[in-house]
Amino acid sequence: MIFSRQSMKKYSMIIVLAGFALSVGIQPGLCDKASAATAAKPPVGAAAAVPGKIPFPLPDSHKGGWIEFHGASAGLNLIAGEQSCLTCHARNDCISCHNTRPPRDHTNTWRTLSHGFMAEGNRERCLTCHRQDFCVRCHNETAPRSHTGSWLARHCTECHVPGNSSCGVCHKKTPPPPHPVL
Amino acid sequence: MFLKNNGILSRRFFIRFFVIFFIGLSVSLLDAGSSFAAASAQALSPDGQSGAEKQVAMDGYLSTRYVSRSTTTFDPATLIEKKVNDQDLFGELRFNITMPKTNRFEFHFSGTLRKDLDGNSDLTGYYPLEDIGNTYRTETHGYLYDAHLGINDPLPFLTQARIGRQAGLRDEPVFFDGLATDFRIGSLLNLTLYGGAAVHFYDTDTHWGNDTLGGAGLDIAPARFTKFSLDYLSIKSALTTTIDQQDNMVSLKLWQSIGSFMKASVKYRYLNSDPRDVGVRVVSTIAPADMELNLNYFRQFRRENELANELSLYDAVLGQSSPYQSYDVKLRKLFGTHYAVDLGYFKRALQEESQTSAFDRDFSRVFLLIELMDLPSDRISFTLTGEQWSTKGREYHSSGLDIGYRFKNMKNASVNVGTYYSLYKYDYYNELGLRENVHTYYINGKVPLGKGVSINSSYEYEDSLENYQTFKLGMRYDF
Repeated sequence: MIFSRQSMKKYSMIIVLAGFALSVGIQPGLCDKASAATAAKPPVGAAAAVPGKIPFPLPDSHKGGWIEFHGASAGLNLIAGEQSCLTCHARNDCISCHNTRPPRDHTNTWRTLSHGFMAEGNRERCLTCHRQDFCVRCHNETAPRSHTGSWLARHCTECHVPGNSSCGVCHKKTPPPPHPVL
Repeated sequence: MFLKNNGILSRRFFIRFFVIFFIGLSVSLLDAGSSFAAASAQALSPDGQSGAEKQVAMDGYLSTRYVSRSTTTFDPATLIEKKVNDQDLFGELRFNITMPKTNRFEFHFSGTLRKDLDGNSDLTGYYPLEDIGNTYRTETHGYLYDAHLGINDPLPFLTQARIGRQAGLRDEPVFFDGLATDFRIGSLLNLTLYGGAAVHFYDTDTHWGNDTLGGAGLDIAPARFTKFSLDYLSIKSALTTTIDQQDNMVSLKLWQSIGSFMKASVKYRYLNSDPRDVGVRVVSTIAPADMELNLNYFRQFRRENELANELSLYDAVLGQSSPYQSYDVKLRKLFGTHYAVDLGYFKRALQEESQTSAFDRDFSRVFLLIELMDLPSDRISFTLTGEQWSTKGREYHSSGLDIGYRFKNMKNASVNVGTYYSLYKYDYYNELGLRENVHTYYINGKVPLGKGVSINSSYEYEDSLENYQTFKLGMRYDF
């Protein structure tokens, strides 16, 4: 452990208290002038995409399932040097969102079941945010649903089935050691 | 070292992170009133006049989130069903410091922290709430995505130099600890050079080495609506203690704007001197019809095996990726101010059917989204979604409904309720035709408290192989 339990409790308490102190303790008027100033003109430049800070509504293009469309538009507008995205968004909004905001379908079921299905045919989608080390880390360190109870006794019939390659996701050596002949 | 190249943070980092964290907060709180407001205003002001009076301006956000998940599972020892719970605390801090008056320096920071509050985990066997956050064997860990200093116009033609942890977004997204420089010669030519220690946020420290990367990008704009780019990226990756992987990628790109209604790009890439892939992208806006059309075509020429982490197609987990091509068509149509319809089709086809493997298949996806905004009354919206994908031996269907409401007299507080239904149909081994039904119900809300502070909360219930409940409570402060 990097931290002792006591020190981590202390740090956690500090974070939580700081967060909630901010929630209730911000002095009135702190940002009044900012609001007034930004309301006068639309922002240009590296302004963070913060609801409420941008004094005009979302453009029509952002309605509906914009999340499905934004990648192509960003690719053409940002990389080509156009400034349309940067009117409201900071340049590092991309990496921030793609590293910290999982899509809606990344539920618990996604974690335990469906991400594998998706990766079977559409691994390119994963590349939008994840690199290989993400997969390797989890598959190296955690056990799948089947590895419970009498798995050791059952695994022969699960693994030695034609077409079942799921074992190979984590077990690169065939057979994985130790593998006594029964 | 403050900047470790594996992205996982040490105790020393935490101390410095918290120092910066609280300095940032202190600055935000102490520099109250007009000074802070002016600084914030400058960050958003188009002409910077008001903010130009400030020497230093700062903007960003701090968010914290408590997440509790629970489910039931069988105790492998007793085979008795028991309830398990997992609680985590997440924090995210991001800020930009600029100098409006001189524009000489700027600093950008983005980092997250995560703490496991309960310690529940079982890495030796299956634990239904285990995720990648449990793989570090420490209760707290964090990721540093961005912490770089920008020096503007230090030399003639050198428009910016960036030092520290940063992301390179020119071709493939890469993170590195190092130096990047932008040169501009006239208005037609830009040159970017970058390099340093590669950052892999999820590396297992046990056998991965010190990886490095370096690259260069050249942009040429011969005409107002035409632009060419040439990129070179070299990555050296230690796959094991004895094997190094070196990959070099060259990318040629052309952007073309056609009037104000269409933009297109073509990208052709070489990897280690062999053609790797080509991608064509067209985005067209048909304003009179309130329509937007996205067309994407992609073709991978090579069979991809083991590559450096940044370029790998998950060979270590999914095996090789055979040559394929994909088509992606998306159409969105707005009907006035109240209706929006999105329709999309994606098809991935292997070049040779014989190359089909368990994790490399033909694949197709269709989705439909219908949104009703401010109907039947203002401030209420409905979103209907449907999705279907199929690949050999697998099918997935989903449908969802989301109802959103924005409150009138509560600073645009909002609440959304919704449900999703997913059906997975798959055949293992002997065409057993297994089916998994997943019902998800959720409610979430956000309450702005004013002055950049908001509180958000959500509850989600998943009815699946296991029944999961997830509760989240968070706050966010934008400064």
